[in-house]
Amino acid sequence: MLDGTHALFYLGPVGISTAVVTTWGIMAVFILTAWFLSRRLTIDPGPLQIAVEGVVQAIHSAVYEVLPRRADSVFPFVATLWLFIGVANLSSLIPGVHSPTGNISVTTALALLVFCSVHWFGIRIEGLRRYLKHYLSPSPILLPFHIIAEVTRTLALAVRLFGNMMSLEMAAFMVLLVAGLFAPIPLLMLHIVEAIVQAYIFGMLALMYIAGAIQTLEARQPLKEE
Amino acid sequence: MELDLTTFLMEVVNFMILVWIMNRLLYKPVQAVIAKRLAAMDQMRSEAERIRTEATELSQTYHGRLATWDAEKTELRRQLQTEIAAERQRLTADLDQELDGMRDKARIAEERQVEERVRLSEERAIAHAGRFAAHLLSRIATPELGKQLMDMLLEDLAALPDEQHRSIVESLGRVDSVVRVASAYPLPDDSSQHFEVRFREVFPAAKQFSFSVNEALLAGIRVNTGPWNLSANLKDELSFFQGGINGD
Repeated sequence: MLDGTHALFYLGPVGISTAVVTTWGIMAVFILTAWFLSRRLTIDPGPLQIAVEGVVQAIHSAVYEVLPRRADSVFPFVATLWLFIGVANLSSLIPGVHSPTGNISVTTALALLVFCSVHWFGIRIEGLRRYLKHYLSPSPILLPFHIIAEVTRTLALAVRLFGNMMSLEMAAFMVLLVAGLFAPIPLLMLHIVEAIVQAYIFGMLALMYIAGAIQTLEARQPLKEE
Repeated sequence: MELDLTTFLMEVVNFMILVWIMNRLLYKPVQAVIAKRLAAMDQMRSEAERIRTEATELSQTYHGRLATWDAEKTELRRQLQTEIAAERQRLTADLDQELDGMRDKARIAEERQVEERVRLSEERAIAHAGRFAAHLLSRIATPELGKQLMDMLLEDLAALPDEQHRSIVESLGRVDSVVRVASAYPLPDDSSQHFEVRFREVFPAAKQFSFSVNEALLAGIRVNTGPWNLSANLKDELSFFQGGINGD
């Protein structure tokens, strides 16, 4: 199975799928890498620390550009989305490993987390009444459309990522079967680009949705304009 | 493609755990290090600004001191030049004064040397003249000239002032007074008698006469009586002539 939905093993009555195991592996890699790096952080950085700081700073800058005043709150969630989805997308390049993001359950879970985080940050920053009030603006007539938009964009998030990654793996597999060993190489290069682009799109859309939930103008103004 | 609830739920939990762990292990430490580095950079920048400000102040102070020193130096140089000019003027005045003194001394010494040379030249000229006159007179000296000189002496004795006449008379009035007559040539008897007669006419107190010959007189006679020397000869005249010139 390419989507990794079948249970690889069982923990009691709970069947652990391949996608979950791959996710654990990716989490283990992240955690070990973060633990390893966090022990060696210095004021005078080495090449590895510079690279890690560059990635973290780039993500933080992207979040800051959208939400200057709430960047620190939103940053861990969006950064983890970008990093996890990017690594998960690229994990299928390893022979025998299937990308967790090729599993609809995983992408749905991530989309649901984005859906919840949008409301979480919206309510936390705006307050419940004010947050709910924005569904009635500019007119209460638009409330159903707002609700439909919430659901469909979450669904679109899940399906877009799942569809792209599943189709990439499927295409690569089929080309490999038909054309032999070297033919999939351009497709694999396309896979790398697509994996990064999809991770960026997913994370950026999540950031946009969260920013859209924060209606306060003050929260979007740059700090330097105070 | 089917939604597995177990996978869905576990992925939700996994991702939330991953967010928490990444935030704890990576994001916060990395951001803390970045913030720490930025703080250090800010501190270094502040320190650099402070050092630059101090350097600017020191530079301004230095330039101010340089300007002050330049002004002081200019003033001191002006004072020094003034002092040098005054000292030069004083030394020049002293030197001029000293030179004037030395010039006066040199002039006086030169004048003295000139006077000495003139005096020596005059003495030498007088000596030459005396020798020349003596030589000339020795060649023209004759007994007749001696007689004429004797007559001239007797005429002069007759015209002596009263005071000198009395003084000579007093000296002739002594008991042992002798009128000593020296002549360049031996006087004939008539000449000596003539002299005695003419002399007694002027000085009747004359008692005794003594005649002798003194060739050094060249011509003429010399009469000696007491403290008086009455000369009418070429030698005494030449001596008188030389003494008169030297006395001038």
